[in-house]
Amino acid sequence: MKLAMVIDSSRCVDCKACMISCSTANETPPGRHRNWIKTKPPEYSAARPGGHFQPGACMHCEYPTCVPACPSGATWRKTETGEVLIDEGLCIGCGNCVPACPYGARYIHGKRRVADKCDYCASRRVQGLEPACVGTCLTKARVFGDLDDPGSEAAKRLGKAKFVQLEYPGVATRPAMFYVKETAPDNWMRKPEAPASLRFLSDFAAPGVKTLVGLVGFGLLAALARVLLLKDGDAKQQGGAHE
Amino acid sequence: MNKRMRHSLADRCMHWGNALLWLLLFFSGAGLLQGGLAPFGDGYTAAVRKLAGGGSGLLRLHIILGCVWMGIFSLYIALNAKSAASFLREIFSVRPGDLIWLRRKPAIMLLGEHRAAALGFETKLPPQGFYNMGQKAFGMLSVTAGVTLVATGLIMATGFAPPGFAGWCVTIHYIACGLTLAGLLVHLYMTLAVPEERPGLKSMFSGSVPEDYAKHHHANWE
Ligand code: HEM
Ligand code: SF4
Ligand code: SF4
Ligand code: SF4
Repeated sequence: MKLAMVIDSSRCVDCKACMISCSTANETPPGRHRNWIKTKPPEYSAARPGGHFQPGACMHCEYPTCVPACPSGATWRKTETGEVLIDEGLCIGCGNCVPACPYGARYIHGKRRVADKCDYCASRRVQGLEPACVGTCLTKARVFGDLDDPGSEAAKRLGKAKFVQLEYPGVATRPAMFYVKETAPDNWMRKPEAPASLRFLSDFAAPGVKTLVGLVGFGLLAALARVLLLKDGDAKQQGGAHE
Repeated sequence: MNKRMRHSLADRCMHWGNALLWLLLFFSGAGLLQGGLAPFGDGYTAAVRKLAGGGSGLLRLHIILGCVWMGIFSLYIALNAKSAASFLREIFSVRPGDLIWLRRKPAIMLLGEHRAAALGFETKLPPQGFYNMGQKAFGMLSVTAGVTLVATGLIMATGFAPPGFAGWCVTIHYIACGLTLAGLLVHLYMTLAVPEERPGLKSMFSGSVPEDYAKHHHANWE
Protein backbone atom coordinates (compact mmCIF):
# COMPACT_ATOMS: atom_id res chain seq x y z
CA MET A 1 0.00 0.00 0.00
CA LYS A 2 1.30 3.42 -0.93
CA LEU A 3 -0.97 6.23 0.17
CA ALA A 4 -0.66 9.45 -1.76
CA MET A 5 -2.44 12.64 -2.63
CA VAL A 6 -2.62 13.50 -6.28
CA ILE A 7 -3.38 17.13 -6.99
CA ASP A 8 -4.42 18.84 -10.17
CA SER A 9 -3.62 22.35 -9.11
CA SER A 10 -4.99 23.84 -12.35
CA ARG A 11 -8.45 22.96 -11.01
CA CYS A 12 -8.03 24.87 -7.76
CA VAL A 13 -10.12 28.05 -7.55
CA ASP A 14 -8.80 29.16 -4.14
CA CYS A 15 -12.16 28.68 -2.41
CA LYS A 16 -10.39 27.40 0.71
CA ALA A 17 -13.18 24.94 1.45
CA CYS A 18 -10.50 22.29 2.06
CA MET A 19 -8.85 24.40 4.72
CA ILE A 20 -12.12 25.02 6.51
CA SER A 21 -13.25 21.40 6.39
CA CYS A 22 -9.80 20.23 7.53
CA SER A 23 -9.79 22.63 10.45
CA THR A 24 -13.27 21.50 11.48
CA ALA A 25 -12.57 17.78 11.10
CA ASN A 26 -9.26 17.93 12.93
CA GLU A 27 -10.05 20.67 15.43
CA THR A 28 -7.04 22.79 14.64
CA PRO A 29 -6.62 25.77 16.97
CA PRO A 30 -7.53 29.25 15.73
CA GLY A 31 -5.02 30.59 13.25
CA ARG A 32 -3.44 27.16 12.65
CA HIS A 33 -4.03 24.92 9.64
CA ARG A 34 -2.91 21.52 8.52
CA ASN A 35 -3.24 22.49 4.88
CA TRP A 36 -2.91 25.52 2.66
CA ILE A 37 -3.33 27.13 -0.72
CA LYS A 38 -0.21 28.79 -2.11
CA THR A 39 -0.68 31.47 -4.73
CA LYS A 40 1.40 32.51 -7.69
CA PRO A 41 0.13 36.00 -8.49
CA PRO A 42 -0.55 36.70 -12.14
CA GLU A 43 1.98 38.80 -13.99
CA TYR A 44 -0.25 41.26 -15.77
CA SER A 45 2.60 42.64 -17.85
CA ALA A 46 3.13 39.22 -19.45
CA ALA A 47 1.29 38.08 -22.55
CA ARG A 48 -0.34 35.28 -20.53
CA PRO A 49 -0.67 36.56 -16.95
CA GLY A 50 -1.00 32.97 -15.62
CA GLY A 51 -1.84 33.17 -11.93
CA HIS A 52 -1.99 29.78 -10.20
CA PHE A 53 -3.33 28.27 -6.99
CA GLN A 54 -1.64 25.32 -5.39
CA PRO A 55 -3.26 23.24 -2.62
CA GLY A 56 -0.87 21.53 -0.22
CA ALA A 57 -0.37 19.87 3.16
CA CYS A 58 2.16 17.53 4.74
CA MET A 59 3.68 15.66 1.81
CA HIS A 60 4.18 12.38 3.70
CA CYS A 61 7.70 12.28 2.35
CA GLU A 62 9.51 9.07 1.55
CA TYR A 63 12.62 10.62 3.11
CA PRO A 64 11.10 12.97 5.64
CA THR A 65 13.43 15.45 7.32
CA CYS A 66 11.07 15.73 10.28
CA VAL A 67 11.64 12.12 11.38
CA PRO A 68 15.37 12.34 12.22
CA ALA A 69 14.74 15.69 13.97
CA CYS A 70 12.43 14.06 16.51
CA PRO A 71 14.39 12.95 19.58
CA SER A 72 11.69 10.69 20.98
CA GLY A 73 10.58 8.91 17.84
CA ALA A 74 7.08 10.32 18.18
CA THR A 75 7.32 11.27 14.52
CA TRP A 76 7.77 8.19 12.40
CA ARG A 77 7.13 6.84 8.93
CA LYS A 78 4.94 3.80 8.54
CA THR A 79 6.71 2.01 5.72
CA GLU A 80 3.76 -0.25 4.92
CA THR A 81 1.59 2.71 3.87
CA GLY A 82 4.03 5.59 3.48
CA GLU A 83 2.21 7.68 6.08
CA VAL A 84 4.31 9.97 8.26
CA LEU A 85 2.63 9.89 11.66
CA ILE A 86 2.87 11.53 15.07
CA ASP A 87 2.43 9.32 18.11
CA GLU A 88 0.88 11.91 20.40
CA GLY A 89 1.50 9.84 23.51
CA LEU A 90 5.21 9.89 22.77
CA CYS A 91 5.42 13.52 21.61
CA ILE A 92 6.87 15.85 24.22
CA GLY A 93 6.03 19.00 22.27
CA CYS A 94 9.68 19.98 22.01
CA GLY A 95 9.09 21.56 18.61
CA ASN A 96 12.29 20.19 17.04
CA CYS A 97 10.36 18.88 14.05
CA VAL A 98 8.72 22.20 13.16
CA PRO A 99 11.69 23.96 11.50
CA ALA A 100 12.90 20.57 10.22
CA CYS A 101 10.09 20.39 7.65
CA PRO A 102 10.90 22.18 4.39
CA TYR A 103 7.19 22.70 3.74
CA GLY A 104 6.20 24.28 7.06
CA ALA A 105 3.65 21.49 7.40
CA ARG A 106 3.89 21.28 11.20
CA TYR A 107 3.00 23.43 14.15
CA ILE A 108 2.81 22.92 17.90
CA HIS A 109 -0.78 22.55 19.07
CA GLY A 110 -0.96 25.11 21.87
CA LYS A 111 -3.59 23.30 23.92
CA ARG A 112 -2.62 19.67 23.40
CA ARG A 113 1.11 20.49 23.62
CA VAL A 114 2.04 18.16 20.79
CA ALA A 115 3.14 18.59 17.20
CA ASP A 116 0.30 18.48 14.69
CA LYS A 117 0.06 18.10 10.93
CA CYS A 118 -1.93 16.36 8.22
CA ASP A 119 -2.44 12.67 8.96
CA TYR A 120 -4.61 12.05 5.90
CA CYS A 121 -7.52 12.42 8.33
CA ALA A 122 -6.72 9.19 10.18
CA SER A 123 -9.76 9.55 12.44
CA ARG A 124 -12.10 9.84 9.43
CA ARG A 125 -10.48 7.00 7.52
CA VAL A 126 -11.07 4.50 10.34
CA GLN A 127 -14.76 5.29 9.88
CA GLY A 128 -14.45 4.61 6.17
CA LEU A 129 -14.65 8.29 5.19
CA GLU A 130 -12.31 10.05 2.81
CA PRO A 131 -10.02 12.85 4.00
CA ALA A 132 -12.05 16.00 4.71
CA CYS A 133 -10.23 18.18 2.22
CA VAL A 134 -10.70 15.65 -0.56
CA GLY A 135 -14.38 15.09 0.15
CA THR A 136 -15.09 18.79 0.24
CA CYS A 137 -13.24 19.88 -2.89
CA LEU A 138 -15.90 20.80 -5.48
CA THR A 139 -13.52 20.92 -8.43
CA LYS A 140 -11.77 17.72 -7.35
CA ALA A 141 -8.40 19.39 -7.34
CA ARG A 142 -7.34 16.99 -4.56
CA VAL A 143 -7.77 13.22 -4.77
CA PHE A 144 -6.39 10.64 -2.35
CA GLY A 145 -5.80 6.92 -2.37
CA ASP A 146 -3.54 3.92 -2.64
CA LEU A 147 -1.23 4.10 -5.63
CA ASP A 148 -0.79 0.31 -5.49
CA ASP A 149 -4.52 -0.13 -6.09
CA PRO A 150 -5.16 0.61 -9.79
CA GLY A 151 -8.84 1.31 -9.02
CA SER A 152 -8.14 4.16 -6.60
CA GLU A 153 -8.81 7.77 -7.58
CA ALA A 154 -5.19 8.61 -6.93
CA ALA A 155 -3.83 5.82 -9.13
CA LYS A 156 -6.29 6.63 -11.89
CA ARG A 157 -5.38 10.28 -11.95
CA LEU A 158 -1.66 9.73 -11.70
CA GLY A 159 -1.72 6.93 -14.28
CA LYS A 160 0.87 7.75 -16.86
CA ALA A 161 0.46 11.49 -16.38
CA LYS A 162 3.43 13.78 -16.06
CA PHE A 163 3.80 15.00 -12.48
CA VAL A 164 5.87 17.28 -10.26
CA GLN A 165 7.01 16.73 -6.70
CA LEU A 166 7.94 19.87 -4.79
CA GLU A 167 11.35 19.77 -3.18
CA TYR A 168 13.67 22.35 -1.70
CA PRO A 169 16.78 22.36 -3.91
CA GLY A 170 19.19 19.72 -2.68
CA VAL A 171 16.79 18.17 -0.17
CA ALA A 172 15.40 15.00 -1.74
CA THR A 173 12.39 14.36 0.49
CA ARG A 174 10.47 12.51 -2.26
CA PRO A 175 6.96 13.69 -1.34
CA ALA A 176 3.94 11.42 -1.67
CA MET A 177 2.11 14.44 -2.97
CA PHE A 178 2.02 14.50 -6.73
CA TYR A 179 1.04 17.56 -8.76
CA VAL A 180 -0.07 16.38 -12.18
CA LYS A 181 1.16 18.21 -15.27
CA GLU A 182 2.79 21.20 -13.65
CA THR A 183 2.28 23.51 -10.73
CA ALA A 184 3.30 26.87 -9.32
CA PRO A 185 4.67 28.45 -7.21
CA ASP A 186 7.68 26.19 -6.67
CA ASN A 187 9.98 28.47 -4.68
CA TRP A 188 8.27 28.73 -1.30
CA MET A 189 9.96 25.80 0.43
CA ARG A 190 12.65 26.55 2.97
CA LYS A 191 15.85 24.91 4.05
CA PRO A 192 15.06 22.29 6.71
CA GLU A 193 16.76 23.21 9.92
CA ALA A 194 17.59 21.27 13.02
CA PRO A 195 17.03 23.58 15.98
CA ALA A 196 20.13 24.74 17.86
CA SER A 197 19.24 22.60 20.89
CA LEU A 198 19.14 19.44 18.78
CA ARG A 199 22.31 20.31 16.85
CA PHE A 200 24.09 20.95 20.14
CA LEU A 201 22.80 17.66 21.51
CA SER A 202 23.75 15.47 18.58
CA ASP A 203 26.98 17.24 17.58
CA PHE A 204 28.50 18.03 20.99
CA ALA A 205 26.60 16.83 24.02
CA ALA A 206 25.96 13.23 22.99
CA PRO A 207 29.48 12.49 21.67
CA GLY A 208 30.94 14.34 24.66
CA VAL A 209 28.93 12.39 27.19
CA LYS A 210 29.67 9.10 25.43
CA THR A 211 33.39 9.84 25.35
CA LEU A 212 33.39 10.80 29.01
CA VAL A 213 31.47 7.70 30.09
CA GLY A 214 33.74 5.59 27.87
CA LEU A 215 36.96 7.06 29.30
CA VAL A 216 35.76 6.74 32.88
CA GLY A 217 34.62 3.18 32.23
CA PHE A 218 37.91 2.32 30.60
CA GLY A 219 39.90 3.81 33.46
CA LEU A 220 37.87 1.86 35.99
CA LEU A 221 38.27 -1.38 34.06
CA ALA A 222 42.01 -0.81 34.04
CA ALA A 223 41.95 -0.15 37.79
CA LEU A 224 39.81 -3.24 38.32
CA ALA A 225 42.14 -5.36 36.21
CA ARG A 226 45.06 -4.14 38.29
CA VAL A 227 43.31 -5.00 41.55
CA LEU A 228 42.27 -8.45 40.33
CA LEU A 229 45.26 -9.51 38.24
CA LEU A 230 48.30 -7.89 39.80
CA LYS A 231 48.01 -9.24 43.28
CA ASP A 232 51.08 -7.30 44.32
CA GLY A 233 49.86 -6.28 47.72
CA ASP A 234 48.64 -2.97 46.47
CA ALA A 235 45.04 -4.03 46.59
CA LYS A 236 45.03 -3.77 50.36
CA GLN A 237 46.43 -0.29 50.09
CA GLN A 238 43.83 0.72 47.51
CA GLY A 239 42.47 3.54 49.60
CA GLY A 240 45.90 5.10 49.59
CA ALA A 241 48.04 6.19 52.47
CA HIS A 242 46.71 8.58 55.03
CA GLU A 243 48.61 11.27 56.80
CA MET B 1 35.02 -4.06 67.90
CA ASN B 2 33.40 -0.70 68.43
CA LYS B 3 30.82 0.38 65.86
CA ARG B 4 29.98 3.86 64.80
CA MET B 5 26.59 4.86 63.37
CA ARG B 6 26.98 6.17 59.82
CA HIS B 7 23.64 5.99 58.01
CA SER B 8 20.23 6.17 59.72
CA LEU B 9 17.48 3.82 58.59
CA ALA B 10 15.77 6.66 56.71
CA ASP B 11 19.03 7.54 54.95
CA ARG B 12 19.54 3.92 53.91
CA CYS B 13 15.98 3.60 52.60
CA MET B 14 16.45 6.85 50.73
CA HIS B 15 19.71 5.67 49.20
CA TRP B 16 18.41 2.31 47.99
CA GLY B 17 15.10 3.76 46.83
CA ASN B 18 16.98 6.42 44.90
CA ALA B 19 19.39 3.86 43.46
CA LEU B 20 16.59 1.55 42.31
CA LEU B 21 14.66 4.37 40.67
CA TRP B 22 17.78 5.74 39.05
CA LEU B 23 18.40 2.41 37.38
CA LEU B 24 14.77 2.03 36.29
CA LEU B 25 14.66 5.61 35.03
CA PHE B 26 17.94 5.18 33.19
CA PHE B 27 16.97 2.00 31.39
CA SER B 28 13.49 3.25 30.51
CA GLY B 29 14.83 6.66 29.46
CA ALA B 30 17.46 5.06 27.23
CA GLY B 31 14.63 3.43 25.29
CA LEU B 32 13.08 6.82 24.56
CA LEU B 33 16.06 7.88 22.47
CA GLN B 34 16.68 6.79 18.94
CA GLY B 35 19.26 7.04 16.20
CA GLY B 36 22.63 8.50 17.15
CA LEU B 37 21.27 9.50 20.56
CA ALA B 38 20.23 6.00 21.64
CA PRO B 39 22.82 4.89 24.22
CA PHE B 40 22.37 1.17 23.46
CA GLY B 41 21.34 1.54 19.83
CA ASP B 42 18.01 1.30 18.05
CA GLY B 43 17.64 -2.42 18.76
CA TYR B 44 17.49 -1.79 22.49
CA THR B 45 15.07 1.10 21.93
CA ALA B 46 12.75 -1.08 19.86
CA ALA B 47 12.88 -3.94 22.39
CA VAL B 48 12.10 -1.77 25.43
CA ARG B 49 9.29 0.00 23.61
CA LYS B 50 7.77 -3.34 22.73
CA LEU B 51 7.97 -4.43 26.36
CA ALA B 52 6.23 -1.25 27.48
CA GLY B 53 3.49 -1.56 24.89
CA GLY B 54 4.86 0.98 22.42
CA GLY B 55 6.77 4.22 22.65
CA SER B 56 3.93 6.12 24.29
CA GLY B 57 3.60 3.38 26.92
CA LEU B 58 7.31 3.69 27.63
CA LEU B 59 7.11 7.46 27.96
CA ARG B 60 4.18 7.11 30.35
CA LEU B 61 6.14 4.56 32.40
CA HIS B 62 9.20 6.82 32.49
CA ILE B 63 7.08 9.75 33.72
CA ILE B 64 5.40 7.60 36.38
CA LEU B 65 8.81 6.38 37.59
CA GLY B 66 9.97 10.00 37.71
CA CYS B 67 6.95 10.88 39.86
CA VAL B 68 7.70 7.98 42.22
CA TRP B 69 11.29 9.22 42.45
CA MET B 70 10.13 12.74 43.29
CA GLY B 71 7.73 11.22 45.82
CA ILE B 72 10.55 9.36 47.60
CA PHE B 73 12.60 12.56 47.75
CA SER B 74 9.69 14.63 49.02
CA LEU B 75 8.84 12.08 51.68
CA TYR B 76 12.45 11.86 52.82
CA ILE B 77 12.82 15.62 53.02
CA ALA B 78 9.46 16.05 54.77
CA LEU B 79 10.33 13.47 57.44
CA ASN B 80 14.07 14.15 57.72
CA ALA B 81 14.55 17.82 56.98
CA LYS B 82 17.40 17.91 59.49
CA SER B 83 19.51 15.06 58.15
CA ALA B 84 18.78 16.13 54.57
CA ALA B 85 20.15 19.55 55.44
CA SER B 86 23.23 18.14 57.15
CA PHE B 87 23.85 15.84 54.17
CA LEU B 88 23.72 18.84 51.83
CA ARG B 89 25.96 20.88 54.13
CA GLU B 90 28.47 18.01 54.26
CA ILE B 91 28.71 17.31 50.54
CA PHE B 92 28.85 20.97 49.53
CA SER B 93 31.60 21.92 51.97
CA VAL B 94 35.06 21.71 50.46
CA ARG B 95 37.74 21.84 53.16
CA PRO B 96 41.47 22.56 53.00
CA GLY B 97 43.27 19.58 51.51
CA ASP B 98 40.21 18.26 49.67
CA LEU B 99 41.38 19.42 46.26
CA ILE B 100 44.79 17.91 46.84
CA TRP B 101 43.02 14.66 47.74
CA LEU B 102 41.05 14.84 44.50
CA ARG B 103 44.19 15.45 42.44
CA ARG B 104 46.19 12.62 43.97
CA LYS B 105 43.53 9.95 44.22
CA PRO B 106 43.11 9.00 40.50
CA ALA B 107 46.74 7.93 40.04
CA ILE B 108 46.52 5.79 43.17
CA MET B 109 43.29 4.20 41.95
CA LEU B 110 44.67 3.49 38.52
CA LEU B 111 48.20 2.37 39.36
CA GLY B 112 48.04 1.24 42.95
CA GLU B 113 49.83 3.12 45.68
CA HIS B 114 53.30 1.58 45.36
CA ARG B 115 53.46 1.82 41.61
CA ALA B 116 52.10 5.37 41.68
CA ALA B 117 54.75 6.35 44.21
CA ALA B 118 57.47 4.58 42.22
CA LEU B 119 56.40 6.53 39.14
CA GLY B 120 56.78 9.77 41.03
CA PHE B 121 53.16 10.48 41.89
CA GLU B 122 52.46 12.05 45.26
CA THR B 123 50.49 9.44 47.23
CA LYS B 124 50.03 11.06 50.64
CA LEU B 125 46.34 11.82 50.99
CA PRO B 126 45.08 14.60 53.29
CA PRO B 127 42.68 13.33 56.00
CA GLN B 128 39.01 13.35 55.06
CA GLY B 129 35.75 14.10 56.87
CA PHE B 130 32.46 12.19 57.01
CA TYR B 131 32.68 11.89 53.23
CA ASN B 132 35.91 12.05 51.28
CA MET B 133 36.21 14.56 48.46
CA GLY B 134 35.35 11.95 45.82
CA GLN B 135 32.13 11.06 47.62
CA LYS B 136 31.33 14.73 48.09
CA ALA B 137 31.93 15.43 44.41
CA PHE B 138 29.56 12.63 43.48
CA GLY B 139 27.08 13.94 46.02
CA MET B 140 27.23 17.43 44.49
CA LEU B 141 26.87 15.98 41.03
CA SER B 142 23.92 13.73 41.79
CA VAL B 143 22.05 16.40 43.77
CA THR B 144 22.56 19.09 41.12
CA ALA B 145 21.78 16.70 38.30
CA GLY B 146 18.77 15.34 40.18
CA VAL B 147 17.26 18.81 40.55
CA THR B 148 18.01 19.54 36.89
CA LEU B 149 16.48 16.25 35.74
CA VAL B 150 13.32 16.89 37.76
CA ALA B 151 12.97 20.47 36.47
CA THR B 152 13.54 19.64 32.80
CA GLY B 153 11.50 16.44 33.11
CA LEU B 154 8.54 18.31 34.55
CA ILE B 155 8.72 20.89 31.77
CA MET B 156 8.77 18.19 29.10
CA ALA B 157 6.05 16.09 30.74
CA THR B 158 3.67 18.98 31.26
CA GLY B 159 4.60 20.92 28.14
CA PHE B 160 4.70 23.96 30.39
CA ALA B 161 7.20 25.92 28.30
CA PRO B 162 7.52 27.64 24.95
CA PRO B 163 8.45 25.08 22.24
CA GLY B 164 12.06 26.18 21.78
CA PHE B 165 12.69 25.79 25.48
CA ALA B 166 11.33 22.25 25.61
CA GLY B 167 13.93 21.39 22.95
CA TRP B 168 16.67 22.63 25.26
CA CYS B 169 15.16 20.59 28.07
CA VAL B 170 15.79 17.43 26.03
CA THR B 171 19.44 18.44 25.65
CA ILE B 172 19.91 19.43 29.30
CA HIS B 173 18.12 16.29 30.55
CA TYR B 174 20.49 14.18 28.45
CA ILE B 175 23.63 15.95 29.71
CA ALA B 176 22.55 15.82 33.38
CA CYS B 177 21.88 12.10 33.10
CA GLY B 178 25.12 11.42 31.21
CA LEU B 179 27.34 13.25 33.71
CA THR B 180 25.70 11.45 36.62
CA LEU B 181 26.21 8.17 34.82
CA ALA B 182 29.95 8.84 34.51
CA GLY B 183 30.06 9.63 38.24
CA LEU B 184 27.95 6.58 39.00
CA LEU B 185 30.48 4.30 37.33
CA VAL B 186 33.13 5.57 39.74
CA HIS B 187 30.64 5.24 42.59
CA LEU B 188 29.87 1.63 41.71
CA TYR B 189 33.56 0.85 41.37
CA MET B 190 34.47 2.40 44.71
CA THR B 191 31.59 0.78 46.61
CA LEU B 192 31.52 -2.64 44.95
CA ALA B 193 35.01 -3.36 43.65
CA VAL B 194 37.42 -1.83 46.16
CA PRO B 195 38.06 -4.32 48.99
CA GLU B 196 39.11 -1.58 51.38
CA GLU B 197 35.75 0.13 51.10
CA ARG B 198 33.79 -3.00 52.04
CA PRO B 199 32.83 -1.60 55.49
CA GLY B 200 31.32 1.44 53.74
CA LEU B 201 29.21 -0.85 51.55
CA LYS B 202 28.08 -2.86 54.58
CA SER B 203 27.13 0.37 56.33
CA MET B 204 24.59 1.09 53.63
CA PHE B 205 22.75 -2.02 54.91
CA SER B 206 23.54 -2.19 58.62
CA GLY B 207 23.98 1.52 59.24
CA SER B 208 27.29 1.40 61.09
CA VAL B 209 31.02 1.01 60.43
CA PRO B 210 33.84 -0.27 62.66
CA GLU B 211 35.53 2.49 64.65
CA ASP B 212 38.99 1.83 63.16
CA TYR B 213 37.64 2.05 59.59
CA ALA B 214 36.13 5.43 60.49
CA LYS B 215 39.46 6.60 61.98
CA HIS B 216 41.48 5.38 59.05
CA HIS B 217 39.24 6.57 56.20
CA HIS B 218 37.42 9.52 57.65
CA ALA B 219 39.85 10.87 60.23
CA ASN B 220 38.09 14.23 60.45
CA TRP B 221 34.61 12.76 60.92
CA GLU B 222 33.38 14.29 64.16
C1 HEM C 1 23.11 0.09 42.92
C2 HEM C 1 24.34 0.28 43.18
C3 HEM C 1 24.82 1.22 44.29
C4 HEM C 1 25.59 0.84 45.33
C5 HEM C 1 26.13 -0.55 45.60
C6 HEM C 1 25.81 2.01 46.15
C7 HEM C 1 26.54 2.02 47.32
C8 HEM C 1 26.73 3.12 48.16
C9 HEM C 1 27.38 3.11 49.41
C10 HEM C 1 28.02 1.88 50.07
C11 HEM C 1 27.38 4.37 49.91
C12 HEM C 1 27.96 4.82 51.26
C13 HEM C 1 29.36 5.28 51.16
C14 HEM C 1 29.86 5.59 52.55
O1 HEM C 1 29.07 5.78 53.46
O2 HEM C 1 31.09 5.67 52.72
C15 HEM C 1 26.70 5.21 48.97
C16 HEM C 1 26.51 6.56 49.10
C17 HEM C 1 25.90 7.36 48.14
N1 HEM C 1 25.26 6.91 46.99
FE1 HEM C 1 25.23 5.01 46.30
N2 HEM C 1 25.18 3.07 45.58
C18 HEM C 1 24.54 2.64 44.43
C19 HEM C 1 23.80 3.41 43.56
C20 HEM C 1 23.64 4.79 43.67
C21 HEM C 1 22.94 5.60 42.72
C22 HEM C 1 22.26 5.09 41.44
C23 HEM C 1 23.04 6.89 43.15
C24 HEM C 1 22.51 8.16 42.52
C25 HEM C 1 22.71 8.52 41.32
C26 HEM C 1 23.79 6.88 44.39
C27 HEM C 1 24.09 8.01 45.13
C28 HEM C 1 24.80 8.01 46.32
C29 HEM C 1 25.16 9.22 47.05
C30 HEM C 1 24.86 10.65 46.58
C31 HEM C 1 25.84 8.81 48.18
C32 HEM C 1 26.45 9.70 49.27
C33 HEM C 1 27.73 10.33 48.82
C34 HEM C 1 28.73 9.32 48.42
O3 HEM C 1 28.97 8.34 49.13
O4 HEM C 1 29.31 9.50 47.33
N3 HEM C 1 24.14 5.58 44.68
N4 HEM C 1 26.32 4.41 47.89
S1 SF4 D 1 6.10 17.33 4.55
FE1 SF4 D 1 7.27 17.90 6.34
S2 SF4 D 1 6.11 17.05 8.03
FE2 SF4 D 1 5.36 16.03 6.19
S3 SF4 D 1 6.62 14.17 6.05
FE3 SF4 D 1 7.61 15.72 4.79
S4 SF4 D 1 9.14 16.63 6.18
FE4 SF4 D 1 7.66 15.54 7.46
S1 SF4 E 1 7.35 18.09 18.94
FE1 SF4 E 1 7.98 17.06 17.05
S2 SF4 E 1 10.15 16.58 17.42
FE2 SF4 E 1 9.29 17.02 19.42
S3 SF4 E 1 8.64 15.02 20.21
FE3 SF4 E 1 6.84 15.91 19.16
S4 SF4 E 1 6.93 15.07 17.10
FE4 SF4 E 1 8.95 14.77 18.00
S1 SF4 F 1 -6.09 14.83 4.56
FE1 SF4 F 1 -7.24 15.57 6.32
S2 SF4 F 1 -5.66 16.34 7.68
FE2 SF4 F 1 -4.71 16.19 5.68
S3 SF4 F 1 -5.01 18.20 4.75
FE3 SF4 F 1 -6.74 16.94 4.10
S4 SF4 F 1 -8.31 17.37 5.60
FE4 SF4 F 1 -6.41 18.09 6.49
